[in-house]
Amino acid sequence: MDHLELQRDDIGAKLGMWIFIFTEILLFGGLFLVYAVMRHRYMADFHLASLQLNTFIGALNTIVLLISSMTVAMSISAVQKKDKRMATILLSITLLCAVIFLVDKYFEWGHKISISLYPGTDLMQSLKHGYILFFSLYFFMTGLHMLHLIIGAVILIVALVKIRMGLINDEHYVLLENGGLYWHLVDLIWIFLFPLLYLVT
Amino acid sequence: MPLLPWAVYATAWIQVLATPVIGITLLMIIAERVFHIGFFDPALGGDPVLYQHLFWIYSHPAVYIMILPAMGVITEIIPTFCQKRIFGYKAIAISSLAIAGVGYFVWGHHMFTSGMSKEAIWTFSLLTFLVAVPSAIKVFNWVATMYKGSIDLKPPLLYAIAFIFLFSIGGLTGLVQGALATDIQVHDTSFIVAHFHYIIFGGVGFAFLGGIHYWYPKMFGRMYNFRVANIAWCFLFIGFNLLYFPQFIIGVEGMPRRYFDYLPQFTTAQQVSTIGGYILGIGFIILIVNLFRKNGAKATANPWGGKTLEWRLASPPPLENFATPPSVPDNPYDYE
Repeated sequence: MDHLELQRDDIGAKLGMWIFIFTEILLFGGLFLVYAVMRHRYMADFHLASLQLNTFIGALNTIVLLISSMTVAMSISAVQKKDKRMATILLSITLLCAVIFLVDKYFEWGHKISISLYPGTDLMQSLKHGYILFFSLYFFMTGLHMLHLIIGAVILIVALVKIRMGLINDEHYVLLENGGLYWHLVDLIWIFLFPLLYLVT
Repeated sequence: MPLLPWAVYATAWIQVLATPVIGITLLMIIAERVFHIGFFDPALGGDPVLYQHLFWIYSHPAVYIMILPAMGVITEIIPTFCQKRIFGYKAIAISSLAIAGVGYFVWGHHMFTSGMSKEAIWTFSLLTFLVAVPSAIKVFNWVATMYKGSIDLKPPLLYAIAFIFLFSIGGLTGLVQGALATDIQVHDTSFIVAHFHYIIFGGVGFAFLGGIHYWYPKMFGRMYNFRVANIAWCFLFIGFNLLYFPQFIIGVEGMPRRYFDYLPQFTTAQQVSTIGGYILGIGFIILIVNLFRKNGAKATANPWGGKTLEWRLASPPPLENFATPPSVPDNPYDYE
């Protein structure tokens, strides 16, 4: 434990996390580039295809993620104030929000899959090119985002366990900060995805 | 700090910012194969040229990832064997960053024949010519460092000098490719193959071998036989040029790349290349055997008279290197 303390570098850890976040932004940036090119090419089809999406659930997911970003930031303040109980409650709300998001996604995707509106089906092949591309982008972008959301939730679960065990405390909370940063990234990506996919009509 | 860390720093920026783009592109390819999501498939409304753009947006910065550390190694070797401080320290540091930065905007020069607009083509062409400037600055600075230096022609310096010569050929032929008119002639020919082998093998490869010979005593605590190392270098240099120079010539004459067979008029050149390849192979065997024979004299801390910090330690360095933090000089190349 002593040796670990000597090697500790919180500034380095935070810097590393920021650089990683930039790489994630570039990763999704490639997808946004593809979206921009395809939208420019098939502007009308994108408008029409987007009508198939459920804007209400999309908006709900946006609000849920915004709340979860707030609670995870508050949990860091709670840890800094040595309030273990509050930190636990706030992180649990964050994780609950993640679950709500995933449940919403299950219903959204489930509906599309039940009417055969997903990549690879005969129905999809029969549609116009702009439609095919829109739904390809929809599933790929929200799918990759969902994967990142699950990863972020796992990091926060680990943080929650460590808070309970006292390993994250007011003197040593860089893991929670980095987890919170990653969660903000997941939220930010959704903030971009939501208008691009749901609000283009 | 010495210029090798500067080079590695610039490389790190490219690695961090460019790699995600190939990551997402490959994910999209996987999606195409597994989930029938076709961003690049015309049958599904996609665009294969979009794939080319995404691929090259990473892959051009990737070649700068390869060359920048190699240039850093050369910048370490030359001052030591000329016993003279590097000429233009700031210029070399800034040009490393400039190569990293401008290198992001030139990817289209791999796609001149893909059907891009005229405006796109001349933009990429102009930027390609611009990105050659910092590399040229480095070459001038290396040569200027050698001027009036106390030249010690040991194996590491032989590799560094070979680097300057071979990298210059590679770089100048890169300009042939950067200009649209000449690129149309040489695109997808063995001229391109020769160009990038001069840069990557003649450049990165020789810098790597020079670095091995430079830091070998430090790493393994033993010297190696200089005469045998020099003989290996001769074989490598001659073999390399015999192998790749004819490819420039037949490339301009129309020999396509990625073909295993060739028209009769290219036979002589291809045979010369083959002989060059065998000479190269012999050179590698001599080099490796020489370095693997651990029977040289024990290495001192500083066999070359270098001024950077690694030469203050024993060879090989002890665990954790310095017992107390060393005094870092203001000038890393303090030869005068």
